[in-house]
Amino acid sequence: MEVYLPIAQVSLPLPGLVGIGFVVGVLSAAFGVGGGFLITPLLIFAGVPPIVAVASSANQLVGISLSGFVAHFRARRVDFRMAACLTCGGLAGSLLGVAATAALRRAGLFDVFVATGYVVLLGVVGSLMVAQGARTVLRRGGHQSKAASRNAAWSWALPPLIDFPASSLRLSLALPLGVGFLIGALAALLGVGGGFLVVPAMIHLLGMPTRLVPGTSLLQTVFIAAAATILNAWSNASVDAILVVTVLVGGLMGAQLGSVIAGRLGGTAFNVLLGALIFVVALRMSLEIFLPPAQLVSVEFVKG
Amino acid sequence: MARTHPFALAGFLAALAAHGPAAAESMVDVASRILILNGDPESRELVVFGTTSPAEEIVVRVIGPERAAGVSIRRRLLGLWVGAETVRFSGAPTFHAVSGSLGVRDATLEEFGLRAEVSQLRADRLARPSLTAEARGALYEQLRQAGLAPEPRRSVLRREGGFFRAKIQLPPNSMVGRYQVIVDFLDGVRSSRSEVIGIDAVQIGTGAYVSRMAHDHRLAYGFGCVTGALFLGLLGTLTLNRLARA
Repeated sequence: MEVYLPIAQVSLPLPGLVGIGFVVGVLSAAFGVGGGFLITPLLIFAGVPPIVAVASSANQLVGISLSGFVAHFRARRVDFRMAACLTCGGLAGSLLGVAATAALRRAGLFDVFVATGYVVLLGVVGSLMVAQGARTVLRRGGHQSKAASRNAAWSWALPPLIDFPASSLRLSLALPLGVGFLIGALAALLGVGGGFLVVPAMIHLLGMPTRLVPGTSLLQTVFIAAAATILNAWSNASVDAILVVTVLVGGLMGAQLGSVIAGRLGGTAFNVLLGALIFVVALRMSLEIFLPPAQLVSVEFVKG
Repeated sequence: MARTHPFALAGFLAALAAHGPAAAESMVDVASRILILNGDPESRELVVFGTTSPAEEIVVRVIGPERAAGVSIRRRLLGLWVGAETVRFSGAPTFHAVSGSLGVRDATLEEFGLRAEVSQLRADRLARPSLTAEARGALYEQLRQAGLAPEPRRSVLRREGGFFRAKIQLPPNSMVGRYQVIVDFLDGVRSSRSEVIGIDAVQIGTGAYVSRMAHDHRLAYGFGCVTGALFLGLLGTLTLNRLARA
């Protein structure tokens, strides 16, 4: 059974698209990452043009993230105040990232920057998370210390200080805003939703309890992905609503399973699995840079 | 609907017979001037028919809407596959199919083929000649690989009385827009005359509505997509939770 995608202008098998959505939904809800790193290449591999795959991925993230967020919200695993700070910083950072992207494109350095930046950033973050998780397992028999989590928080005294009761943290407002800003800028530069960057930052820079991280990350992803969708629809007319609905149906089913997995994962297991996932993505990016690409040529038709 | 109507074809052939062979020489038509791009292969099938002198050979070309084409070729830079050079061609066909009658020679079919068409495209001035040549070859290969430039075939069928018919199917990834059906009548190896018919490839139903909204009301469409995704996300979650509890 095939479904015709009017913006992508291709017919693709319905079960395949639903299956792609399901896998991404599981990862999204379990780890609080958007899954844009996975769904975009999978859609391109399935035959969707890259520009449509990128834009439609962002749109389906809105629904998937909301679904995952609702599941975490019912289990009271969301820090709304933190999500608001990160979102405000993230949206501002995105604007800077978009401007920087345009400047790098004009200078002809965008591809080099993105490829190397992606590999270095994800490689370092993934390695650190796996190493820390392994250390914790070896020293404490698999239990993460609350003290270790709190010590990771940067208790900067730059006013105004704000209480985050859900996370039991008192932090300078500049810290979550700054983290959100940096993540937003990097996310816009690297063309990803930012879940891979914001989740480790929440744990290691802000010192949030890991049980609150996925839900909080998903809430801010809803807003960032919504902004990206509107921007793509406005500038490129590349969001395929039929594709989004199809993938979202699978994603919603996957998100329910992912939420159950998230509730059962301990802090250490969460760190190790997410670190490994990030590491795999970095490895995949490295291969893309060093190995000859499958498609050396791309053709884009535009009116005019 | 774009389906071939059997009575239309029969009526056309009866009209040709009534007017005699002299009038039949210049008659060419298509079964439908509108093709619908969707998952149904029949609605994407173009049927060209007509009549000509038995001495003439026939070449039918279908050329898709012309667009500016940007061809990017990946390059290795300092050992990394990160660079790309782009050449832009104006007026590139997005679809190109050639079909001939049995007597058309290979070389003649090639002359009407996509390779010949691509070799005449105008490239942007900044591109180096060697890069432009490489990009022309790449554009040709990409269209072929995407199924948008099928191999030239001898699939024009002849019938008694000088009648002929050809079927060409547009792939589902064909572009919406104006297509040209060009029928060349060959006297030996040269084209003695040609007929051009315009057809439209369109989308209908939900697909057409989505496409029109996406292109004509971009901002509203963007907000609509976000609202739809939020609604679907919420509805799906509540439904699945209820099902799980039940």
